[in-house]
Amino acid sequence: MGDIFSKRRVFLSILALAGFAAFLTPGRTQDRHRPGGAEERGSAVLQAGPRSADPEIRRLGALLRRYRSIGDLESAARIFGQLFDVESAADPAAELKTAASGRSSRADGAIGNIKPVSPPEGSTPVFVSPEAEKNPTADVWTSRNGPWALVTAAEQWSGGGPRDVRIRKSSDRGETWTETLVLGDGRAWTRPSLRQVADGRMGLAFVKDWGGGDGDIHFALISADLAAEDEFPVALSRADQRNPSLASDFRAYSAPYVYVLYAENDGLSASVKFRVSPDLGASWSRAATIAAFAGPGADEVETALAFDPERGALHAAFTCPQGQTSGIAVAASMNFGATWSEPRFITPDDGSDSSPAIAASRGTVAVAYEHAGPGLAPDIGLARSTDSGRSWVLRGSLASSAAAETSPDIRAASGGLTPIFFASYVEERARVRLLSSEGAAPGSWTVAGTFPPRGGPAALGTAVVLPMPGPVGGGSAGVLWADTTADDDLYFSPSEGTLGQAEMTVDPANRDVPYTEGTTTFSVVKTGDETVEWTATVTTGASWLDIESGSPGSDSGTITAAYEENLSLLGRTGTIRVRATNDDTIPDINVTVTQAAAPSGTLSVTPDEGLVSTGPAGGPFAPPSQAYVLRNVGATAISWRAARVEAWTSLSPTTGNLAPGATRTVTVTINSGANSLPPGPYSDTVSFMNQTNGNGNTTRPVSLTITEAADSLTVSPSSGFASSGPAGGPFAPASQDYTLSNTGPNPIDWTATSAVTWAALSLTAGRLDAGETATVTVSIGAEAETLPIGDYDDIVMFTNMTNGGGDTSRAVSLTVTPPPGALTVTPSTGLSASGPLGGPFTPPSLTYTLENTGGSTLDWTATRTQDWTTLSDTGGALGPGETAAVTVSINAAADGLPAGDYGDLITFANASGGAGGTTRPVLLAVSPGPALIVVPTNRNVPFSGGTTSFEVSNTGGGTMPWTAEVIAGSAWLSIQSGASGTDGGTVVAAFAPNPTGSPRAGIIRVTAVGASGSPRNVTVTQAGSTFGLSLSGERLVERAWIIKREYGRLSVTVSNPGSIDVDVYVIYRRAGGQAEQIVQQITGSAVTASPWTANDAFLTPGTSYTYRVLAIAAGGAVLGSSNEITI
Amino acid sequence: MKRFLIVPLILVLAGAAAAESRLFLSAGAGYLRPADGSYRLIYGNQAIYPELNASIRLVGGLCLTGSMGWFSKKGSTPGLGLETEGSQSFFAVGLSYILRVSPTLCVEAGAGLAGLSFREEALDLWVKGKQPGPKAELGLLLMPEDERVFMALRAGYMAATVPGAELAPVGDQDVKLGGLRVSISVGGQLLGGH
Repeated sequence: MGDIFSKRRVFLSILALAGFAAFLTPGRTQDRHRPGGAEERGSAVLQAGPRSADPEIRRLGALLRRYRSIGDLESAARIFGQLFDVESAADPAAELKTAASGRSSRADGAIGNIKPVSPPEGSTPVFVSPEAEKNPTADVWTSRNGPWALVTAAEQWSGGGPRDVRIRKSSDRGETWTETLVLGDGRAWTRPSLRQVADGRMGLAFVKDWGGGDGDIHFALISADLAAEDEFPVALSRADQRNPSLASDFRAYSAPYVYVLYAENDGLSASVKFRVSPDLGASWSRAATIAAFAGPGADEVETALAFDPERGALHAAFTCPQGQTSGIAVAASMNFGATWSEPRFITPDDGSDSSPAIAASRGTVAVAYEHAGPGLAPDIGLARSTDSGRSWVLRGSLASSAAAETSPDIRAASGGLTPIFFASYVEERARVRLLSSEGAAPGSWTVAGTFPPRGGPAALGTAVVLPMPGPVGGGSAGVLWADTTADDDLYFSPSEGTLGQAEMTVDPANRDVPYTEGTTTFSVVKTGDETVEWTATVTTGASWLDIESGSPGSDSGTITAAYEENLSLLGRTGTIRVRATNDDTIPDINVTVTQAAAPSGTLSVTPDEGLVSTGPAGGPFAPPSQAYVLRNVGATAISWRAARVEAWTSLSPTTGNLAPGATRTVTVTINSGANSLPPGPYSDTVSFMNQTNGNGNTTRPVSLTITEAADSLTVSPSSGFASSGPAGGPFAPASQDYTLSNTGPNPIDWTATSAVTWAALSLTAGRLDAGETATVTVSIGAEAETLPIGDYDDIVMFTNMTNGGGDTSRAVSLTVTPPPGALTVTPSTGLSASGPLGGPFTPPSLTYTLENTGGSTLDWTATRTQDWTTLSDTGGALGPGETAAVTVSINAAADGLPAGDYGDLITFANASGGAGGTTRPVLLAVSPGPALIVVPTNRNVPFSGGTTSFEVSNTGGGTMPWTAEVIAGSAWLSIQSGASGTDGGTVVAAFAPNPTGSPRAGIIRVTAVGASGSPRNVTVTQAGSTFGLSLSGERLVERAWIIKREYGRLSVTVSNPGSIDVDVYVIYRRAGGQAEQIVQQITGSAVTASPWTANDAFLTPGTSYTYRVLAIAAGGAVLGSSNEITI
Repeated sequence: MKRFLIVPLILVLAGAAAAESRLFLSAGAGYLRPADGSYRLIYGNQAIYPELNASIRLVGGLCLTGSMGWFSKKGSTPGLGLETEGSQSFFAVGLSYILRVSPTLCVEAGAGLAGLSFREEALDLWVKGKQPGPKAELGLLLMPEDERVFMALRAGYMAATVPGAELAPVGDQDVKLGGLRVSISVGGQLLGGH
């Protein structure tokens, strides 16, 4: 123990000496002096630090923003170096401090969560131990397209005082906190400020307290697996630095900066300092003073820092003296902290303000703070700016009840079109209120939760709010709050539900593009977990603006828009609408492409290269010419002229006019004048001149090198060999002869080679004496017949093996075209129709299917020779595999043809010259007309019902349809079958029984339209029926009880096989010499059986009676009369 | 007919007034099986008819009795099925003796003379007539001693024959009137003490 104290005394002594030396060293201040800036300490309230009045700083700041935006890190680092001085020489005291402090990074320390607790409802324990945990801080750890986790940090006290900083991590939305990291070196590490500083990495700023009013700011970089990657000092000096606030712009830039705002007191005055690190804390800029003022110690100056990723703005809030009490001031920087706006108070001068918290998103800045009026319980005040801090709405409030509201915190949720803010505060030390708002307007805050929901600890301390990604997108929030009932323990309470949704942004809002054609891009950024499907559509300017790629897309992506040349003196703007197709809640986003106007008429000449030609004396020279394309890329018409200097060059054409966008080709040629030039280099210049306004005037050099004439091989003709033909051949022309000549005085050996197998050479080598010639035939070989459709090239090299003079080549091209169209006509049979005189004819038509079975489109025709045929189509075009239908019909003209046989020939021709032309015969047989015969002409049938038949036949020609009908006697005669038919058939007629005694006749008419003998009537004659009556009787006595009388009983037997209708039966009686009288009449319908009886009551005893019966028809005719009987 | 009813009734009432004796009046329904087989052939085997009875106790259990009843039925002839209608009525007087066998039950036995009438309308003709005949019956009376109401169940026989010759020319067969008779009646004592 004594050694330890001894070492500590030595260290402190060295530290004191180093600090004194640093104090005496000029220029050792950590504050950066910038031109135009005012580094004033402690002389007045809110003395400003570096300001952005210097245009050079503004320019550098803009450059840095641009380079960072486009990812030019090298240029960004250069500009950063010009804007910020990095701490170059370490403070001796700092070196001593660094050497004296050992790092501690243990996965879990001895002081863990060992205290059993019963967490209040809706909360989970985060930091609970027998010792106090204070000053919590928290943030969300995210990785690109990966999971996210909650990370918190707090002072871990030990022995009644602060010592370490403990970090905890939850990967399940705060339900469990499974990972722990303890940072410390034995000294008091206080005031942690935890923020994500890069993709998957967290940063922790904290105060390392050396005691004696000497605190330094340090920064630790923490990896995703909760291991401290490294630890760096931020601000080491003899001054007292406190209350750091950490921020990062990792959401806006791929190579993020880390920012620290803290308070400092050098013993004379207090100030608010700012530093920035371009390398995740490895190095830090020298401190910039945002404000300096006399009065409070560093520990009393509270700071808050936020970065607005959408606006690229840094916002600082801090406490400082305001009148007789303290207030909250803010400042902003649009250039990563290089310069800051003039600090201004956002609190009224009517009370004490403290505990500032700041959040910023999409230009909206909100500051929450604790405001205590004289003699009043503290409230939560709110100041808000919607223009990145340029103007503020003051005197807002988050909570202003009679209760004491303390410990405010505010954060902005990342992403989203409308910024979502979350805030929290402690009410009466009994509960934490969680609020949310879109836009942070004072009246828009709603309570999103209260923790603990049903009460809990009696004494709550600090609370911080933590926006979290929600299950769909946007975010919810949780609250990390302290229970100070026994010792300070920290709990986490998440809000329920999702407070936001997926959102989409497109950046930038506008692209300025030149008037020439090209492409530009827009970045689509989706926030939230929900997949967003979107499309990009050009809504205005579609005539010149098009979506080249990227649409449709999902989630984040890049839209590439292509724009055409703007040959107008006016600029133009096109609009691209990006629309989410699976989420109606996401509004359409319109971005624009602004294209500059074209200049007035401007001449453009391509290519840029000149003509470089060589050849032996006398020629030929290769290449012999060069074509240049002249184009008017301006908005007005121009006239142009091309000029040369040397006579051995030719131009064609030499003048002309070009409308905007028009082109013209000018060919520069080495003409025959060069043939007489002696060996040597020659040059010329071709000038292209815009004679209208001179825009685009340019020249192209012409270089001609003429070599000595030598034993040279010449090949003629100079043209190549181009052949073509359908797949499988033949190809035409089939060959090309090249004549090889030796133009030199000595023999030369030559070779001819081909690189392909489908080209054949008749000779491949030989010797030519002076003046001698040879012929090499380049032909299309048999192998070409196997080539598929396409273009094929070859180079036949003619080489002077003796000296190389005259080496040349000839291009051979072969175009294999699709096979010609081949016409196939189905069916192969002709049309054979027949019918009677005047028609109709069957079959009336035949449809042929024409198909192109070849490989090329063909034109076809169909023709006939006779007027009595008709073609549905007489010609057309058929693509490969396509079909067409042609119907050959016997038309009405055939109806007038006399009986006989006729013929026609249909010709199908392949008008494209291919195969398949064919003919189809048409035969027409016209037969005589039909003749109708019906036998017999009469049928005699009995009186009883039944059927009879007649035979119908066609004794003529053709087809004879006929019908049969009853035209007389339809009451009892009907057609049972054979009511119609064709040619022959049987008409079956059904007849009912004849209920009369007279015969009757019915007539059936058979009609065959157009047939001779039609119509024909045949008769059915039915015989009459018979009727008979037979009478018998007896005399009977009828008795009652006492009375008795006689009567007659008559029995009548009826014979009526034809069911003749009887109207009435009449019974006549004659007694003695009396006349006959009717004694009874019985209606015929009442008689249903035979025999039937009738009684005659009563008879006089002893008197005889004679009876007879008559059957009377309805008309009064007597159908029958019975015999007489006497009883 | 009225004469046949009024005279006996006056006689009974006069007798009853003179004797200051009890008067028993009752009404009920009778069942009669006709004695004539031809009647039964046309009109059925039975006839239900209303019946009135009156008794005057003369001395002890001896009573002067009178009764009357009538019925008419329709039928049809067997051969032609023509509708017929036949009716019979009777009026009887006689003596009966009532013997009390228990405080509530008495037995009765009596005999007398009955006058029977007939009529038939059938086969477009009609015929009628009357003939006297004997009558005898036995009865059982439910007659509590201290009550003035009673119920009587009687069975008896009465008959008379009309010769066929008297019926010519509409009929030629003997006709039997009356037959076996059973009646049940309810009545009361109208005069005198118990």
